[in-house]
Amino acid sequence: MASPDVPEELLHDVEETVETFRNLPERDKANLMRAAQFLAGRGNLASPEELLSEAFIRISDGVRRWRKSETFPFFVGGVLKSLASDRMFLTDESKVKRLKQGFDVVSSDDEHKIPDSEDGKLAAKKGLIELAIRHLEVHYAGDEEMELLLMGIQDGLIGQDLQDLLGVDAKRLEALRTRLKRQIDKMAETLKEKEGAS
Amino acid sequence: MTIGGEKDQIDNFLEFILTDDSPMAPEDMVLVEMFDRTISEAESQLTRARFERAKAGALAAYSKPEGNVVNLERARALLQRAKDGDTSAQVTLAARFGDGFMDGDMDAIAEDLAELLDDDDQEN
Repeated sequence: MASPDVPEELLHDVEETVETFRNLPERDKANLMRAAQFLAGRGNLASPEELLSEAFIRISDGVRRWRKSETFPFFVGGVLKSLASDRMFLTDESKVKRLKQGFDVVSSDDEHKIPDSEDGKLAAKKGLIELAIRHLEVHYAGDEEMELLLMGIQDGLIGQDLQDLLGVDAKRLEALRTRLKRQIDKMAETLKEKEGAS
Repeated sequence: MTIGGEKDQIDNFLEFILTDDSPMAPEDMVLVEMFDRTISEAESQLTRARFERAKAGALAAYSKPEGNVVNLERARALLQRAKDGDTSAQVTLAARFGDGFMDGDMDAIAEDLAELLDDDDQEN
Protein backbone atom coordinates (compact mmCIF):
# COMPACT_ATOMS: atom_id res chain seq x y z
CA MET A 1 0.00 0.00 0.00
CA ALA A 2 2.81 2.38 0.82
CA SER A 3 4.53 1.91 -2.52
CA PRO A 4 1.73 2.53 -4.99
CA ASP A 5 2.61 2.37 -8.66
CA VAL A 6 6.22 1.39 -8.02
CA PRO A 7 7.23 -1.51 -10.29
CA GLU A 8 8.40 -4.58 -8.40
CA GLU A 9 11.82 -4.47 -10.06
CA LEU A 10 12.52 -1.12 -8.38
CA LEU A 11 11.93 -2.59 -4.92
CA HIS A 12 14.06 -4.83 -2.72
CA ASP A 13 12.24 -8.03 -1.84
CA VAL A 14 10.75 -8.28 1.64
CA GLU A 15 13.03 -11.05 2.88
CA GLU A 16 16.14 -9.14 1.88
CA THR A 17 14.75 -6.01 3.56
CA VAL A 18 14.10 -7.83 6.84
CA GLU A 19 17.59 -9.39 6.77
CA THR A 20 19.09 -5.93 6.27
CA PHE A 21 17.04 -4.66 9.22
CA ARG A 22 18.29 -7.50 11.45
CA ASN A 23 21.94 -7.08 10.48
CA LEU A 24 22.33 -3.32 10.57
CA PRO A 25 25.67 -1.91 11.72
CA GLU A 26 25.56 -0.53 15.28
CA ARG A 27 26.01 3.02 14.00
CA ASP A 28 22.80 2.75 11.93
CA LYS A 29 20.92 1.07 14.79
CA ALA A 30 21.83 3.94 17.12
CA ASN A 31 20.90 6.55 14.49
CA LEU A 32 17.52 4.97 13.78
CA MET A 33 16.72 4.61 17.46
CA ARG A 34 17.64 8.27 17.92
CA ALA A 35 15.40 9.21 14.98
CA ALA A 36 12.55 7.38 16.72
CA GLN A 37 13.42 9.24 19.95
CA PHE A 38 13.24 12.53 18.09
CA LEU A 39 9.92 11.74 16.41
CA ALA A 40 8.36 10.49 19.63
CA GLY A 41 10.02 13.02 21.86
CA ARG A 42 7.22 15.47 22.50
CA GLY A 43 5.19 13.30 24.82
CA ASN A 44 2.08 13.34 22.67
CA LEU A 45 2.99 10.55 20.29
CA ALA A 46 3.90 6.88 20.53
CA SER A 47 7.02 5.81 22.39
CA PRO A 48 10.24 5.42 20.36
CA GLU A 49 10.07 1.65 20.89
CA GLU A 50 6.47 1.50 19.61
CA LEU A 51 7.42 3.45 16.50
CA LEU A 52 10.39 1.23 15.71
CA SER A 53 8.49 -1.97 16.50
CA GLU A 54 5.57 -1.01 14.26
CA ALA A 55 7.98 -0.01 11.47
CA PHE A 56 9.64 -3.44 11.70
CA ILE A 57 6.27 -5.24 11.68
CA ARG A 58 4.94 -3.31 8.67
CA ILE A 59 8.18 -3.85 6.79
CA SER A 60 8.20 -7.59 7.66
CA ASP A 61 4.60 -7.92 6.48
CA GLY A 62 5.53 -6.22 3.19
CA VAL A 63 3.20 -3.28 3.88
CA ARG A 64 6.11 -0.86 3.51
CA ARG A 65 8.66 -1.65 0.78
CA TRP A 66 12.26 -0.54 0.40
CA ARG A 67 12.98 1.17 -2.91
CA LYS A 68 16.31 0.40 -4.50
CA SER A 69 16.87 4.12 -4.98
CA GLU A 70 17.07 4.89 -1.26
CA THR A 71 19.46 3.95 1.53
CA PHE A 72 18.12 1.64 4.20
CA PRO A 73 18.34 4.16 7.09
CA PHE A 74 16.46 6.75 5.02
CA PHE A 75 13.82 4.18 4.10
CA VAL A 76 13.19 3.24 7.74
CA GLY A 77 13.41 6.91 8.70
CA GLY A 78 10.56 7.62 6.27
CA VAL A 79 8.45 4.82 7.76
CA LEU A 80 9.10 6.15 11.28
CA LYS A 81 8.17 9.65 10.20
CA SER A 82 4.84 8.61 8.71
CA LEU A 83 4.02 6.44 11.73
CA ALA A 84 4.84 9.26 14.12
CA SER A 85 1.67 11.13 13.28
CA ASP A 86 -0.54 8.16 12.53
CA ARG A 87 -3.74 8.51 14.56
CA MET A 88 -3.42 4.88 15.63
CA PHE A 89 -0.36 5.85 17.58
CA LEU A 90 -1.84 8.72 19.50
CA THR A 91 -3.03 8.14 23.03
CA ASP A 92 -6.63 9.07 23.85
CA GLU A 93 -5.42 11.98 25.93
CA SER A 94 -3.33 13.39 23.14
CA LYS A 95 -6.17 12.90 20.65
CA VAL A 96 -8.27 15.22 22.80
CA LYS A 97 -5.43 17.73 22.94
CA ARG A 98 -5.03 17.55 19.17
CA LEU A 99 -8.73 18.18 18.64
CA LYS A 100 -8.63 21.20 20.89
CA GLN A 101 -5.65 22.54 18.97
CA GLY A 102 -7.46 22.01 15.68
CA PHE A 103 -5.05 19.46 14.24
CA ASP A 104 -6.35 16.96 11.75
CA VAL A 105 -4.19 13.88 11.76
CA VAL A 106 -4.10 11.61 8.74
CA SER A 107 -3.27 7.93 8.83
CA SER A 108 -0.01 6.94 7.19
CA ASP A 109 -1.92 4.40 5.13
CA ASP A 110 -4.03 7.19 3.65
CA GLU A 111 -1.05 9.32 2.85
CA HIS A 112 -0.53 8.22 -0.72
CA LYS A 113 -4.12 9.05 -1.60
CA ILE A 114 -3.66 12.72 -0.84
CA PRO A 115 -2.35 14.94 -3.62
CA ASP A 116 0.54 17.16 -2.49
CA SER A 117 -0.95 20.29 -4.05
CA GLU A 118 -4.09 20.53 -1.93
CA ASP A 119 -2.62 19.23 1.20
CA GLY A 120 -3.80 21.05 4.26
CA LYS A 121 -3.94 17.75 6.08
CA LEU A 122 -0.34 16.88 5.46
CA ALA A 123 0.67 20.32 6.64
CA ALA A 124 -1.18 19.64 9.89
CA LYS A 125 0.46 16.26 10.10
CA LYS A 126 3.87 17.82 9.73
CA GLY A 127 2.83 20.22 12.47
CA LEU A 128 2.72 17.31 14.88
CA ILE A 129 6.32 16.37 14.32
CA GLU A 130 7.51 19.95 14.10
CA LEU A 131 6.55 20.26 17.75
CA ALA A 132 9.68 18.25 18.47
CA ILE A 133 11.80 20.86 16.71
CA ARG A 134 9.96 23.68 18.50
CA HIS A 135 10.68 21.92 21.77
CA LEU A 136 14.41 21.95 21.01
CA GLU A 137 14.28 25.61 19.96
CA VAL A 138 12.64 26.56 23.24
CA HIS A 139 15.15 24.45 25.16
CA TYR A 140 18.09 26.22 23.49
CA ALA A 141 16.57 29.74 23.47
CA GLY A 142 19.34 32.22 24.26
CA ASP A 143 22.13 29.78 23.38
CA GLU A 144 23.23 31.35 20.11
CA GLU A 145 25.41 28.49 18.86
CA MET A 146 22.74 25.87 19.45
CA GLU A 147 20.03 28.10 17.95
CA LEU A 148 22.13 28.54 14.81
CA LEU A 149 22.86 24.81 14.70
CA LEU A 150 19.13 24.05 14.82
CA MET A 151 18.41 26.56 12.07
CA GLY A 152 21.25 25.26 9.92
CA ILE A 153 20.13 21.66 10.26
CA GLN A 154 16.55 22.56 9.36
CA ASP A 155 17.83 24.31 6.26
CA GLY A 156 19.74 21.19 5.28
CA LEU A 157 23.23 22.56 5.85
CA ILE A 158 26.03 20.12 6.55
CA GLY A 159 29.79 20.09 7.09
CA GLN A 160 31.65 23.24 6.08
CA ASP A 161 28.45 25.20 5.40
CA LEU A 162 27.30 24.50 8.95
CA GLN A 163 30.71 25.49 10.33
CA ASP A 164 30.60 28.76 8.38
CA LEU A 165 27.12 29.58 9.65
CA LEU A 166 28.13 29.03 13.26
CA GLY A 167 31.64 30.40 12.83
CA VAL A 168 33.22 27.36 14.49
CA ASP A 169 35.80 24.72 13.55
CA ALA A 170 35.03 21.06 12.87
CA LYS A 171 35.87 19.98 16.42
CA ARG A 172 33.56 22.55 17.98
CA LEU A 173 30.80 21.64 15.54
CA GLU A 174 31.12 17.98 16.52
CA ALA A 175 30.84 18.93 20.21
CA LEU A 176 27.67 20.93 19.50
CA ARG A 177 26.21 18.07 17.47
CA THR A 178 26.85 15.72 20.38
CA ARG A 179 25.07 18.12 22.75
CA LEU A 180 22.07 18.16 20.44
CA LYS A 181 21.98 14.36 20.11
CA ARG A 182 22.08 13.97 23.91
CA GLN A 183 19.21 16.44 24.24
CA ILE A 184 17.15 14.43 21.71
CA ASP A 185 17.79 11.28 23.75
CA LYS A 186 16.81 13.17 26.91
CA MET A 187 13.49 14.28 25.37
CA ALA A 188 12.33 10.66 25.25
CA GLU A 189 13.69 9.91 28.72
CA THR A 190 11.75 12.86 30.14
CA LEU A 191 8.64 11.48 28.50
CA LYS A 192 9.13 8.09 30.15
CA GLU A 193 9.61 9.68 33.54
CA LYS A 194 6.39 11.67 33.10
CA GLU A 195 4.50 8.53 32.09
CA GLY A 196 5.90 6.70 35.10
CA ALA A 197 4.81 9.51 37.43
CA SER A 198 1.27 9.77 36.12
CA MET B 1 17.81 13.05 0.03
CA THR B 2 14.09 13.05 0.68
CA ILE B 3 12.39 11.12 3.43
CA GLY B 4 8.71 10.36 2.91
CA GLY B 5 7.80 12.86 0.20
CA GLU B 6 8.68 16.52 -0.30
CA LYS B 7 11.74 17.50 1.67
CA ASP B 8 11.07 19.66 4.68
CA GLN B 9 12.62 20.78 7.98
CA ILE B 10 11.86 17.42 9.57
CA ASP B 11 13.59 15.54 6.76
CA ASN B 12 16.64 17.74 7.23
CA PHE B 13 16.57 17.01 10.93
CA LEU B 14 16.20 13.27 10.38
CA GLU B 15 19.01 13.45 7.84
CA PHE B 16 21.21 15.07 10.48
CA ILE B 17 20.47 12.17 12.82
CA LEU B 18 20.66 9.36 10.25
CA THR B 19 23.91 10.44 8.58
CA ASP B 20 25.81 10.65 11.85
CA ASP B 21 29.01 8.67 11.32
CA SER B 22 30.94 9.78 14.37
CA PRO B 23 32.59 7.10 16.55
CA MET B 24 30.13 5.24 18.78
CA ALA B 25 29.75 6.92 22.18
CA PRO B 26 28.37 5.32 25.37
CA GLU B 27 24.98 6.98 24.78
CA ASP B 28 24.92 5.42 21.30
CA MET B 29 25.43 1.97 22.78
CA VAL B 30 22.40 2.54 25.02
CA LEU B 31 20.40 3.17 21.83
CA VAL B 32 21.79 0.03 20.17
CA GLU B 33 20.63 -2.04 23.16
CA MET B 34 17.21 -0.39 22.98
CA PHE B 35 17.07 -1.11 19.23
CA ASP B 36 17.99 -4.79 19.65
CA ARG B 37 15.49 -5.28 22.48
CA THR B 38 12.70 -3.61 20.48
CA ILE B 39 13.33 -5.65 17.33
CA SER B 40 13.59 -8.87 19.32
CA GLU B 41 10.20 -8.17 20.94
CA ALA B 42 8.71 -7.23 17.56
CA GLU B 43 9.98 -10.54 16.10
CA SER B 44 8.24 -12.46 18.92
CA GLN B 45 5.08 -10.45 18.33
CA LEU B 46 5.22 -11.29 14.60
CA THR B 47 5.79 -14.98 15.27
CA ARG B 48 2.86 -15.07 17.72
CA ALA B 49 0.59 -13.25 15.26
CA ARG B 50 1.52 -15.62 12.42
CA PHE B 51 0.96 -18.65 14.65
CA GLU B 52 -2.45 -17.32 15.72
CA ARG B 53 -3.39 -16.69 12.08
CA ALA B 54 -2.31 -20.19 11.08
CA LYS B 55 -4.21 -21.70 14.02
CA ALA B 56 -7.34 -19.74 13.18
CA GLY B 57 -7.08 -20.88 9.56
CA ALA B 58 -6.69 -24.53 10.55
CA LEU B 59 -9.62 -24.38 12.97
CA ALA B 60 -11.84 -22.74 10.36
CA ALA B 61 -10.99 -25.49 7.87
CA TYR B 62 -11.91 -28.28 10.30
CA SER B 63 -14.98 -26.83 11.98
CA LYS B 64 -18.49 -27.18 10.54
CA PRO B 65 -20.35 -24.35 12.17
CA GLU B 66 -24.14 -24.68 11.95
CA GLY B 67 -23.55 -26.93 8.97
CA ASN B 68 -25.08 -30.15 10.24
CA VAL B 69 -28.56 -28.83 10.78
CA VAL B 70 -28.77 -27.17 7.40
CA ASN B 71 -27.26 -30.19 5.63
CA LEU B 72 -29.61 -32.59 7.35
CA GLU B 73 -32.60 -30.48 6.42
CA ARG B 74 -31.39 -30.43 2.85
CA ALA B 75 -30.79 -34.20 2.95
CA ARG B 76 -34.26 -34.79 4.33
CA ALA B 77 -35.81 -32.74 1.51
CA LEU B 78 -33.59 -34.42 -1.06
CA LEU B 79 -34.54 -37.90 0.13
CA GLN B 80 -38.22 -37.01 0.10
CA ARG B 81 -37.93 -35.76 -3.49
CA ALA B 82 -36.08 -38.94 -4.51
CA LYS B 83 -38.76 -41.08 -2.89
CA ASP B 84 -41.38 -39.04 -4.75
CA GLY B 85 -39.68 -40.03 -8.01
CA ASP B 86 -37.71 -36.84 -8.73
CA THR B 87 -34.96 -38.08 -11.06
CA SER B 88 -32.58 -35.20 -10.45
CA ALA B 89 -32.73 -35.87 -6.68
CA GLN B 90 -32.00 -39.53 -7.30
CA VAL B 91 -29.01 -38.61 -9.46
CA THR B 92 -27.73 -36.28 -6.74
CA LEU B 93 -28.01 -39.01 -4.15
CA ALA B 94 -26.34 -41.46 -6.51
CA ALA B 95 -23.45 -39.07 -6.94
CA ARG B 96 -23.20 -38.65 -3.18
CA PHE B 97 -23.49 -42.28 -2.17
CA GLY B 98 -21.83 -43.99 -5.15
CA ASP B 99 -22.48 -45.11 -8.66
CA GLY B 100 -24.19 -48.30 -7.59
CA PHE B 101 -27.27 -46.43 -6.49
CA MET B 102 -30.41 -48.44 -7.16
CA ASP B 103 -33.92 -48.54 -5.83
CA GLY B 104 -32.86 -51.20 -3.37
CA ASP B 105 -30.24 -48.90 -1.85
CA MET B 106 -32.83 -46.24 -1.12
CA ASP B 107 -33.91 -47.97 2.07
CA ALA B 108 -30.35 -48.20 3.32
CA ILE B 109 -29.81 -44.49 2.63
CA ALA B 110 -33.12 -43.68 4.32
CA GLU B 111 -32.01 -45.65 7.38
CA ASP B 112 -28.68 -43.83 7.53
CA LEU B 113 -30.40 -40.48 7.18
CA ALA B 114 -33.00 -41.37 9.79
CA GLU B 115 -30.22 -42.22 12.23
CA LEU B 116 -28.52 -38.94 11.53
CA LEU B 117 -31.77 -37.03 11.90
CA ASP B 118 -32.47 -38.77 15.21
CA ASP B 119 -29.01 -37.84 16.49
CA ASP B 120 -29.58 -34.30 15.36
CA ASP B 121 -32.98 -34.11 17.05
CA GLN B 122 -31.55 -35.45 20.29
CA GLU B 123 -28.73 -32.89 20.24
CA ASN B 124 -31.16 -30.04 19.72
